[in-house]
Amino acid sequence: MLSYIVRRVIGSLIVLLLITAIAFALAYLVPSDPARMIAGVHASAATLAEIRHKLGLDKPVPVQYVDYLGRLLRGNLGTSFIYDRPVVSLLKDKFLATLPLALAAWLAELLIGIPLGIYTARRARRSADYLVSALALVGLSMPVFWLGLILLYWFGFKLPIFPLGGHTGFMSLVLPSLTIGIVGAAYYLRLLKSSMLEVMGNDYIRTARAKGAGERRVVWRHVVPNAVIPVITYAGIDIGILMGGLIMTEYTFNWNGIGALMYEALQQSDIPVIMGTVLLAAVLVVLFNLVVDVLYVFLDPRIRCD
Amino acid sequence: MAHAAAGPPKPLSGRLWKSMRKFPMLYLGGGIILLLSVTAIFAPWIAHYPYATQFRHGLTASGTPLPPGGRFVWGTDDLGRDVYSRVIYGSRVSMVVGVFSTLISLVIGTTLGLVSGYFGGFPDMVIMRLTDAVLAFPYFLFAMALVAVLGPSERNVLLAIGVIGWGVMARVVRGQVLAVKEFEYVQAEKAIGASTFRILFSVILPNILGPVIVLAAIAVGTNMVMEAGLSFLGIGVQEPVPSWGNMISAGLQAFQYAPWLFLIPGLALTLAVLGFNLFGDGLRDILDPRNASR
Amino acid sequence: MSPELLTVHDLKKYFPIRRGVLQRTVGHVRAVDGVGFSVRSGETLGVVGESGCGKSTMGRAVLRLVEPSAGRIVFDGKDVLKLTPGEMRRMRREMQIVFQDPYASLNPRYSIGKTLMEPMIVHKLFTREERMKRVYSLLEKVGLDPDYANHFPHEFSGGMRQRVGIARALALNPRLVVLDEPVAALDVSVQSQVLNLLEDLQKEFNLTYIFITHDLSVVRHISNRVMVMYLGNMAELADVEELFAQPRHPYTRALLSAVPIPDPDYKRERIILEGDLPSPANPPEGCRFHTRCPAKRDVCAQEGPGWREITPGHFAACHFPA
Repeated sequence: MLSYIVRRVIGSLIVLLLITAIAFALAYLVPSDPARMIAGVHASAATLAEIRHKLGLDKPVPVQYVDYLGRLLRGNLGTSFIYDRPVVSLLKDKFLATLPLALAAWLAELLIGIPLGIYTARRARRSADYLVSALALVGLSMPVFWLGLILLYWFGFKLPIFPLGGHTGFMSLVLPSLTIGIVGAAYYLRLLKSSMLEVMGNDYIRTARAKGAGERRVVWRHVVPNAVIPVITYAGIDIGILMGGLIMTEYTFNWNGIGALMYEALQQSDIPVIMGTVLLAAVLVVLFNLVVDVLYVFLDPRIRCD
Repeated sequence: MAHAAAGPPKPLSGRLWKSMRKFPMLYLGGGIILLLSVTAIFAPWIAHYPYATQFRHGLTASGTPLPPGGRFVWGTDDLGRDVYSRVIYGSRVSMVVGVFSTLISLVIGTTLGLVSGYFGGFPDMVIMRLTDAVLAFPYFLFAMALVAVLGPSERNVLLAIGVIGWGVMARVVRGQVLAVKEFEYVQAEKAIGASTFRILFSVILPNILGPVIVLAAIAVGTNMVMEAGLSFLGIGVQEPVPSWGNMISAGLQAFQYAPWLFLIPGLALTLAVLGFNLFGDGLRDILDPRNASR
Repeated sequence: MSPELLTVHDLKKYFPIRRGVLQRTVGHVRAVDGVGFSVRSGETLGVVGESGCGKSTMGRAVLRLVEPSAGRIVFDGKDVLKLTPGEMRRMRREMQIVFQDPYASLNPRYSIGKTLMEPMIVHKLFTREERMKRVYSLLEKVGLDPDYANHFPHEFSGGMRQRVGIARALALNPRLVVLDEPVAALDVSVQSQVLNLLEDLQKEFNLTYIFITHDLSVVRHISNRVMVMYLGNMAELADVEELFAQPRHPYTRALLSAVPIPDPDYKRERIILEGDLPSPANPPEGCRFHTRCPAKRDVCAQEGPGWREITPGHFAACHFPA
């Protein structure tokens, strides 16, 4: 079991290393010259060379990558062109703004998706199941930013219950988290339903029924605890993805978080910020993947004996 | 060997009807995809006007867009252009980007998955770690960064989405290969002296294609949403060429006085994605051995 | 006596066992651990043993379907393990295999005709029409209707599929065919038909067989010589009559005593082996068989017996052969 956890940690470290390599390659591919961007169009060749030297851009690529890794390890992600601030402190601020939205969206997904998943599984192949499942498929097919606009139009503009954007306390959280909640819930619903149907087909469920256990007891004591494991896995990875930035939703609802920062950086070609946000998102995914895998060891007795 | 059915064969229409009732999702999805393809191919004949024409009578006296109805069936946009024609032409971007980016992912993911699963060992380890790394980047964020680097255009959006979307396919293909390569017919192909290339592409690949096609169908829908998202943010397809994404983006600016500008293209996009999702789900049901037809 | 077509020296196949954080190799499953024999042109060498004794791996290693870990394989004067991949693929025309499971050994997406044509396509033999003709004649040779060429494997029974598998092995006119439990998955009534077919084909095409099976009555029926394997090693090798009349190795004796004989008056001592088959990852010291041997003495636990010719042509690996 310990060996399993150690192996997963080492695997994650390797993946992190590859991620930094991809991020570095991406930054390196940029056609625009960072020295030119800092010095301006009219800078002389000598000034450009000097800036290049200062930034280490005249060194061979592998050396640059090692330098880059070294800076990463010291928590230095560079300086934003537009804000003229260290990327790390910028990310910290925006991350704190995104966090409540990500958590609210995550809760909305779970609160809508899991009850509906159990409901449709218990009524499988009846009209209620068909209706809810069809709606889930439509929800899954809807672009988030479009759904966001619809909610904004009806519940922010036509019926002015919620603010049209910005963060002004609890009310401003409702529409954006509901937007993500509806689309995300569709996935949880389908996952839990198929997992429950699979568990219900097992012999031990038939045994429980044969013993005379009531339907309610069978579902809550036997089916749900066994079927919920893949849902937990996905939920763990999902929160990592949500925290990495909800670009579309933040853009639609004018939420000043990581996603908005990313959008801004894109508009201005602020490469250090783009790389920083991408890196943060990927690291969050790897981290939560690892947490889920370790959690799994305690949830699923089958892994423990490996 | 013998035909099980006794009596004369049923007419084709009857058999089609029976098959449609059995797999409604597949046929509904297929129908939507067919509709979409026809629209995209024959857009110039289906559209009422060219997509970029700004009509003098396309705006109200106060300069706002015309609502649906009358000469412009789905209304006009802020520049007095015909929304119906733009939605029709917009299907081209969605289809081209959706299908071709998926093809790119399919080629990369299938090749890497085949190599990884068949050879195992060191190549497997390297490819799977790379796959983990690519999958760790949130799909949309990664595409955004890549387009930012390459520059916004339809071609670059297509390339960016295709080049990063192979992770899941590589994993699924690898898993399938691991299962199929143990079958003795793969050993038999080796025993008759076939090359590794032939074993991979003409024996193993056809036998794992089912789940791969399901994935690809759903990926087309996902990639359409990605393209729309990138265009929505202004880093995808550029005006005046219409994409459902940049149309919704224009609708965002005008959503209080001209809601049809974001509603209609969004509806078209949702319908298109739904079509591919239905088709993929329907295909999965058919391939699931538990649903094997009797 | 006919010349030797195939000679195998000290063949080994070890599968690594990986464990731990770094997936280091912590040991090996010694599936085949030093097997050597030769097969003469036109004869049938039967190979028997319990499941897990390595006989199937041995058969595949001889054809390099699994890559041997060590040893030398000489086929028709050529060192098979030294061939380049290209030479090896050409060499496969000469040496073919029939698999155990006729449900897994035919590609479900190929028609029977395509399955039989595939070897000729791979080796670029004949024109299209000639290939078709050959498919029909192969189907006839194995007792199937040529019309079946357009049908798919799922339409056939196990016995018919196995006939297709045999036809595929013959498509390239090989000299050596490894038959890996070719009748084990078939109904008893079909087994004898397929065995007779194999015998007829052997005569007609002068084939050399390595016949791998766990079924002693089958091996007695079809083989000229028999090799008994135990835990990746050879236990005994002799002509079929000799082996059945006078088994020398205690393991062979135990195996033979388990064969039912259709004579109610026949009395004999049934030798029951004690204990389980040891793991090939951790085989016993000394003689591999000593943990279960009814005739073991002290030396058996310390020293391997070596491969000895007890009477001319009769070999056994035992310190105290009967």
